[in-house]
Amino acid sequence: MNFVVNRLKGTTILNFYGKLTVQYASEILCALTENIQSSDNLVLDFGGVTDVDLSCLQLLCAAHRSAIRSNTQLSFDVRHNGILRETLNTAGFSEHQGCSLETGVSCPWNR
Amino acid sequence: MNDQHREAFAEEAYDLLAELETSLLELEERPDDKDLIGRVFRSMHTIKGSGAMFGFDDIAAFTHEVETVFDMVRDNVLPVTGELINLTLQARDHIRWMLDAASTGEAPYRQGSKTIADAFKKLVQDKQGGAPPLPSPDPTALPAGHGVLSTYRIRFRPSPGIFATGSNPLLLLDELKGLGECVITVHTDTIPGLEEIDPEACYAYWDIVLTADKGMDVIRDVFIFVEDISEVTIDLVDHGDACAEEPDYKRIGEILVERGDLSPEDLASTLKEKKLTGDILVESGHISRDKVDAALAEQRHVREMRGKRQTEETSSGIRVAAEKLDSLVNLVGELVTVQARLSQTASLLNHTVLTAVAEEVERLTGELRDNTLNIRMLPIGTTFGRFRRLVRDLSRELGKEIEMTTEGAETELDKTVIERLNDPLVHLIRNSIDHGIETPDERQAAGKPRKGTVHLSAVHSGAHVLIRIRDDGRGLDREAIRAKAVEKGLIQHNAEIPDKGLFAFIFHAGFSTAKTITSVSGRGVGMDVVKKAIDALKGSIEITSEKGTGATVTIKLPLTLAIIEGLLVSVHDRYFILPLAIVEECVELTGTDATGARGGDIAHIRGKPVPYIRLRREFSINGNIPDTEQIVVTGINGNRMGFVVDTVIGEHQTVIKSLGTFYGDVEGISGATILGDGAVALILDSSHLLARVEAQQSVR
Amino acid sequence: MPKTIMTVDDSVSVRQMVSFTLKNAGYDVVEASDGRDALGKLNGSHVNMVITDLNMPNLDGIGLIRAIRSNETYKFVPIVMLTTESQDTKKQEGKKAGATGWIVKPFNPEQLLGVVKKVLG
Repeated sequence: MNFVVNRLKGTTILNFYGKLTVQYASEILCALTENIQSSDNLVLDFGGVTDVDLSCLQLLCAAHRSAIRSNTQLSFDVRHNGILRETLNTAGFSEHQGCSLETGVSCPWNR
Repeated sequence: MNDQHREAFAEEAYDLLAELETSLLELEERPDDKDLIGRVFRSMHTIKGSGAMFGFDDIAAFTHEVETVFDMVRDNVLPVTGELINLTLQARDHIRWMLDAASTGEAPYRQGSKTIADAFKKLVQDKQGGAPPLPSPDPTALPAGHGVLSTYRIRFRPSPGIFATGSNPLLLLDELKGLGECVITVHTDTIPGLEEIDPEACYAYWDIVLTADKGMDVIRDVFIFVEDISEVTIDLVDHGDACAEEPDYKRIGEILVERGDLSPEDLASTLKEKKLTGDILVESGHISRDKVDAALAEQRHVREMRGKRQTEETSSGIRVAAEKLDSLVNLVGELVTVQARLSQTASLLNHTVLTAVAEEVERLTGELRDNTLNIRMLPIGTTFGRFRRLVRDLSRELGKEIEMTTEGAETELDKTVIERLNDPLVHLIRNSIDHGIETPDERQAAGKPRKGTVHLSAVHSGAHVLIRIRDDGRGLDREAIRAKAVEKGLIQHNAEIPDKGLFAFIFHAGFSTAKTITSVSGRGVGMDVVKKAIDALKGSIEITSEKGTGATVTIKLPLTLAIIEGLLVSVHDRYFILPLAIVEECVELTGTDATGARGGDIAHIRGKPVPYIRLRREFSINGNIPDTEQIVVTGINGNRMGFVVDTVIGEHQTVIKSLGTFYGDVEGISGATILGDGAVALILDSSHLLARVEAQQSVR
Repeated sequence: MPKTIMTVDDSVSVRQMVSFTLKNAGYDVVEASDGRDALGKLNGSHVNMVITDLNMPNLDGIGLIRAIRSNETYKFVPIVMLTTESQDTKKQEGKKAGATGWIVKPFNPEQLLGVVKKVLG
């Protein structure tokens, strides 16, 4: 397990730590799916993440899409974690202006 | 690399080489034996392979060349000939030699590798009727476009299963970033929601715009492990060679159509609206925002890169054809001449205003002249670098330990002078290494450090540059030179000659005291060739030496060949110029000095005999001989020589004009110049005249 | 924490050379003499990458790659195989079995480290 779930009032906070890599992608998928369905307000925290790869960036994109569909408020801030920031940069997300679902208004990468 | 590994390899390689030799000799007897050919090939292959593994890169590279040839033999492209066997045996010996050298820690001598490799190449070319040379084993030499900034558009779309092969596409993107300026845009439109996503599949794909000084091959290599499980397209979109390009780049619509993301029809219909193309396209649903972003990124990137390239080009100067520079120098020469006339006219008319203007023109012309000549100046250091290699290779060949030191590499000289100076310097350095510096043992016995030094220096001295080649070798053998000079009849048996004059004899044709001919020098291409080359550069050469402690050769060269400082003299109504560099003094020729009979005359100046020639006689000039004639004494390589003229007028900035093809070969004249009043003055080729006088003297 | 690389080869000298090069570059190295030895040494331990020869006794390189890929722990571990110029069919087989990349023998230390960097980062 590479995350802990904290629930306060209407907000669920998913604290990720350690490796967010393809090896753990299935577990992370489960955690995201479960919590997007069960909460109105989901906050992802990457403070303790030491490694991240493309599979997990894709999962975050997917989570954002699902959140829009299920009207869940999904928020996360990638700026706090240097490794995450760097990976996003390498993966070309810094040139990304928002996906086909919406025109950049809520894209988590675009902040 | 661990020595233990290397030793193991060397052992194995010696065995293989022994086997190779046997196979080759057998092959000579049975040239059609396929097994033997295969065995030779495998030996080479193993040596190459293990050589590269254990850090013997030189051996690997060299063996590769031979292996390539035997690959062709194996494929029946090349026949087994005596020549091939010979060459391969040589190569085998060379590899062995390289191994020996590596184990003694001595750096291999590459020249030999190249000679043999070239011979192999030639063999292949001859057989194939001038087919292209063998591929070089050096991978860095291959990619085209190296050194030129090119911009590539890359689309990288990994297959969904790429993670399962242990590949990480992000590492490849990182690798691309390392190649040059890179803009990476991710496409996320294929990523589904959490409900449908396979967490272990890859959905994202990328558009990358990369500007690098690498060829297409290098970029393709990044994807080498994933190319058959990914869609990788690489297009060259902007090439650095297109200089006259505008900093602007393609329109966004064009880029999208080129990428195949948009049909030309859709683009055309969109263009009818008057908004930002990208926005309209996204709104109209023709295309996703990602695609437009990627195209925008490319547009931005290429514009930036072009802008950068243009700035670089402006700041780093411009390249001008040498001819244009020559013609500029010629024009400046003309201008200097006209300016001299203007100054002369102004002073003749004694017109204040005109004189002021003439002075102004003189100042400006002077600056223009200096600036123009400066453009042709290059630092001599580039040539120095080449000599370092020469010293290294030659000393190795001769088994000597020699270090080369240089000084004044930044000293500037006219481009032409530098180019023409190369051969004489090579010759002099070869001489120092071959005859000057002793073997390490000899040096040690003489109480000197084992390692000899050749010092090459260049320094400015007025309008001249002094280039010195100094070695700490055994020095010139005064007695040997003296004996040779006597033998050649150049001096009397008991003549007292100072070192300077004596050493100058070695510049005479055929004057070599070298007892043996080595491959380095002593083949009769003597110092006279060096001297001729220096003379042609309007320079002079001089040797000083102390027996046992070394020799110094000093070459004095004018800064430029286009304009020289001259001494203007006249005989009756004719003008002559002597290069000021060689003029030692001007004295009156007294009646008693005019002694000698026939062509050769000797004047006694301060008790020393100076042969002279009368320009009046030399050039058959009539007119009255003045009461007192002047004698201009020149010194070339320690030989003094007088020119008798009517009047010495003074120093003259001489713009050298060639005489043209028709008069080009006139002996004794090296060029002409135009004086302030429009008169022509001939520039005397003093060394040639001197040689003529010497010839006359030796006849007597 | 240094990354751990396993080198699998029945030739001691190649294994030595690979191991020496990688250790010099700051990696931890586990050596195995063939596929079976490699699987025994893996057994759940932490390995970031595997470099394996193809021709080996007991369990060859292809078999080793298949076994590693079918193990949940090492499913995504980069595996680089050592091939020779003439082993193109072997190479294809290895790729099918799940190899990440390959190094053609002979190779020098720089080439080895280049490939390690390429697949391991």
